[in-house]
Amino acid sequence: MLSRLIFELVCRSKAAAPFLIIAAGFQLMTPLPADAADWIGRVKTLEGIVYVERDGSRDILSAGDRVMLGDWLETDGSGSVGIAFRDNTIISIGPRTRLLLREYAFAPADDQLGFALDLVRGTLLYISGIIAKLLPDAVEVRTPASTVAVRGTRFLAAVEPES
Amino acid sequence: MVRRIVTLCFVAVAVAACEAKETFVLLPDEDGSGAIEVRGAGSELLVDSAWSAVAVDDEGVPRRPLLGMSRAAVVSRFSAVLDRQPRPPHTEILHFETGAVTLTAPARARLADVVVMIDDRSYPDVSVVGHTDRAGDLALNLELSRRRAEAVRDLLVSRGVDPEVISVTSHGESNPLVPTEDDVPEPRNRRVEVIVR
Repeated sequence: MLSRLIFELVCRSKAAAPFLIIAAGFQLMTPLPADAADWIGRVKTLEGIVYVERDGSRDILSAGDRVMLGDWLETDGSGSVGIAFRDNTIISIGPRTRLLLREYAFAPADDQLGFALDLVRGTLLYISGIIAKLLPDAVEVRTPASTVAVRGTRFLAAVEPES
Repeated sequence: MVRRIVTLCFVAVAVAACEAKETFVLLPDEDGSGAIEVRGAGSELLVDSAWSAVAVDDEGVPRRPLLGMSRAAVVSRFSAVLDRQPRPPHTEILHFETGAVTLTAPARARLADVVVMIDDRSYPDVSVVGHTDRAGDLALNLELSRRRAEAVRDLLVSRGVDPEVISVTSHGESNPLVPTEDDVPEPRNRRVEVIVR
């Protein structure tokens, strides 16, 4: 009765290595150093091509890289990536996805708790961590049409691109 | 006439999850399934049973699809994100000799297991977090919990863990294992947690 969905196969290509070449007039980002105190999560799994946009630069993301508040993540048709945040929140995104790490605060002793994502298009898996456990209202996932609030849980989201 | 009725029935079917502009699916969790609330176009929909879907129509209104997605369809459609799901974090809870910065003997043994766990993960990061209960002097508690967390960090490093992957903090009394009223002693809360991601 229902038309069957056509699901694309994810290309299982190797992750690209980060480029560290600095050319005149055009600077690529270097991967975030591990001791930079501002990182909020670390890339644990990665397939295909995944980009991170930070401070006006766009670079290839690699497994093991750290991500920061304000990063845009974008995958092409082959890309997917999984990230674990400092508070144990876990996300992964699939191909043709664009996502903003809009808000992150995890300092419970200072009453600072917050987690927000903007999923512009594509697919997302969200698994709650300590921020959601301590203050569920501090977590928000936004899509073009919706806002999702959570009660200590995990969910999937899919946003069709604007046609 | 019959055909017209059948056609109307198809048209009247609410938006199916597979054709919706936006789709959300609640997944089962360890402690049941929790809940999500989807808000849009002045409307809101709460879903609290595992595998339930929400489909957002062209007007931006969240709806329960009449024809839901089977578990197999969900897993298939979201195969990439599910395949890329990182390993769940592991938390080890360590207790100390009273008032001291020394781990209890069982805690020391479990720390050795933690080192193996860290070795076993690609791209690990480790949080060592001191916690206090709500009894006694807040500043003293924080200080002791921080020193304990630092002692654990030093032990991990001495056993070969790369210090670069370890961060040390204290949550004070803000993240208890066992919630209590203020000023209530609770030894289970006086702990250091080592979390391996």
